[in-house]
Amino acid sequence: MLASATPSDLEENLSELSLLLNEEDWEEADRLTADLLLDAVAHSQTAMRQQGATQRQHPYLTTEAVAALPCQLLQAIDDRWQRASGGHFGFSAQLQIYANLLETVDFDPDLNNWSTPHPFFEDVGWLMLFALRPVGFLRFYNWLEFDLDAPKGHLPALWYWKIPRIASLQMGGFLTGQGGCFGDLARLDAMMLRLSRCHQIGG
Amino acid sequence: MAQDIEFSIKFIDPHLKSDDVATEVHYLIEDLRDLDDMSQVRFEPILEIRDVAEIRAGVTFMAHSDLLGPILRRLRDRLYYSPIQTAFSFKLDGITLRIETHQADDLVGFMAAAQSGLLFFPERDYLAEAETYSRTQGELSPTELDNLNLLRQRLGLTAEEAEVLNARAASPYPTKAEKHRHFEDITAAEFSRLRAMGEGPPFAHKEIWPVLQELAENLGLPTLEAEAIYQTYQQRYDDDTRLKTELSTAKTAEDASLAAAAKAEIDRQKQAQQVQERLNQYRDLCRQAMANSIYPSEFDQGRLDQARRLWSIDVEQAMKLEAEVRDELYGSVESAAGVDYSRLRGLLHQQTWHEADMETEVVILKALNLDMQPVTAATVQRLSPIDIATIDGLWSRYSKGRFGFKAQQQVYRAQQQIQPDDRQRWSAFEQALGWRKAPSLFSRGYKPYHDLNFISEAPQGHLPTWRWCCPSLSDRYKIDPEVMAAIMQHLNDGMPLEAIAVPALDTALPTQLA
Repeated sequence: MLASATPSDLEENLSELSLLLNEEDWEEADRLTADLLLDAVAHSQTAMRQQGATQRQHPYLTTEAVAALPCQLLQAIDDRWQRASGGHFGFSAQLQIYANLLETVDFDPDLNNWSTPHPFFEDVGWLMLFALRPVGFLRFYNWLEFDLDAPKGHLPALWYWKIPRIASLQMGGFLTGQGGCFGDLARLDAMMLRLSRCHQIGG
Repeated sequence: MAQDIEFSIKFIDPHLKSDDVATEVHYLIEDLRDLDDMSQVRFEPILEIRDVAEIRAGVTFMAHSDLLGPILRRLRDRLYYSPIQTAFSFKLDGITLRIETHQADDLVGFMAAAQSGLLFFPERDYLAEAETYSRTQGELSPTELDNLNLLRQRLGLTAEEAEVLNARAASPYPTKAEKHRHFEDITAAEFSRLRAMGEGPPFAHKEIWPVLQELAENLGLPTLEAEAIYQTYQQRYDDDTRLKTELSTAKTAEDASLAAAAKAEIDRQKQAQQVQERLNQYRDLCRQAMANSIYPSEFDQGRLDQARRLWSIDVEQAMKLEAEVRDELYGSVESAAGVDYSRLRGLLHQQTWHEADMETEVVILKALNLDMQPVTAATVQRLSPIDIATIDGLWSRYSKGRFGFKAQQQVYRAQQQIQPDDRQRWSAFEQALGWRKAPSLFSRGYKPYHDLNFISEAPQGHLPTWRWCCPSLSDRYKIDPEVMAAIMQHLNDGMPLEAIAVPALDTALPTQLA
């Protein structure tokens, strides 16, 4: 079901991801992770439209695209991140933090602005530090910490940072992806919901 | 013959202190009382003044002459271990024997004298031995006879006297062969009595055996041999009965075969009836066990197991029955997609609405088997009507019709009558379900999923939510109207509402909203 067109490409990419992660090249691994997810979306879209190979029509993950990501791919990527980082990075680490917050905090999405961001953004260290205090804007992508000293769940992050320019502007950014603007709760929630739905398959 | 001997035993060792004497006396009494048949004997202490105080220096008691041997043996043993100077005196028929000694051997000499017949009743001793022997084997073996002969000589009995005693010991049937014959006669008599009673029920000869066993014991016939005899007769009896029935069936072969067939048919029907009865009983028991909880308590489960074994119902059938009763009591969990709805049923039974809502998503996405992707207008068609009915049945059962797909259909139909315009209708539908607030200038009225009401008092049709078609929830619970329309269409196709339901809903609210 997943990326049926080029399974060998996918395996190659996954082994490359393992390689990067084992070398602790977190930044490159993050890039490759985002690419893998976007490829999967492009595949399913082309498959749906029965068209030729126009790849990466949408170089970002919409909530709908996230909700349809193949579970197997997500699990494969997550598995590699977790193994390389000892559970410190990866989707599972992020889901764990998010699910805990979901149970303890009934966050009002209307309050998601620069002064009261969703606590998840602070927990994984995605918020910009302003005079050592976090504010409700996300960091620019290259301000993120690409090492194991980063907070738990800090990476992978690029899948979230890649948004269209117009969206970046709408959310108070400067054409810099998620960097410098408010976090998009819907997309974050979509990914977490997707992960928890995928978890149900085994059980 | 009953002759009592008066014993008196006194410690006269001058080196022994008063305290020690008292202790010795205490232990002496304990030792003697330990002997067989001595528990009833009254022990009188012998008091003596020593060092101003009065102490127990010894003990005196009456005992039957039979006990002389054991008592002497016990006293001798005591002297072996602690040679204390002691005065023994035995008084019998005016004869008093006094011995003062601290040596065990002196008592042994006395015992020898006693054994030689001076103080015993040799016939009784001999008879006891002979009886013991004849009981164990059924008759006296050469070795046993030889033993008895030696005993006879030691006891000083004549051969004639011994012969008489032997015969007495062997009771009315002296040899084993005679006992054997007697026992066989009795057994035969018992079985002929059984025959006379006609068709004996199968357990009849079992009742004979205990009595016969008792007889064998009384005769001194070993049980194994008696049982062998009994079994031969039993076998013969069983064979006879079988033969008799076979003969009688052969006699009227044609009639019999027809009758037998009819009887077999009746038997089979009876048996089937019985099995059915048992199954029904088991079903009733299941109902009782599950009256209070979906899964029977450990105690009830134990009772069910017991009943299952008692009525010889096999495990698979029992499980099937239990499942049927469970479905009957708690709602069906039938699924065309092979999904297990029992967790959903459990959660709804407990009225944990939030968990049940999440479980509903899990079961629907699993039933669709599309990699857990949210339901779309296209994929909702694949949801089987059976599964829809099951989910709806469970929700409405446990909310008394307040929740479930049917409740939502009813709400929608009420809106349909009020709102002709499609877009407005969906918005009104969501508002009537309590899924959305009225849109205003500043807000479109969507709520985050966790702001919905997971309580029994939630509006009609509020639950289950359609979260299974949402890509995200925490930001806002929002369903694409196109998907909503497809779902409603599919629900109506699979589960049409009755011709016209009473417009039971509060019609004032939606009109105001519009």
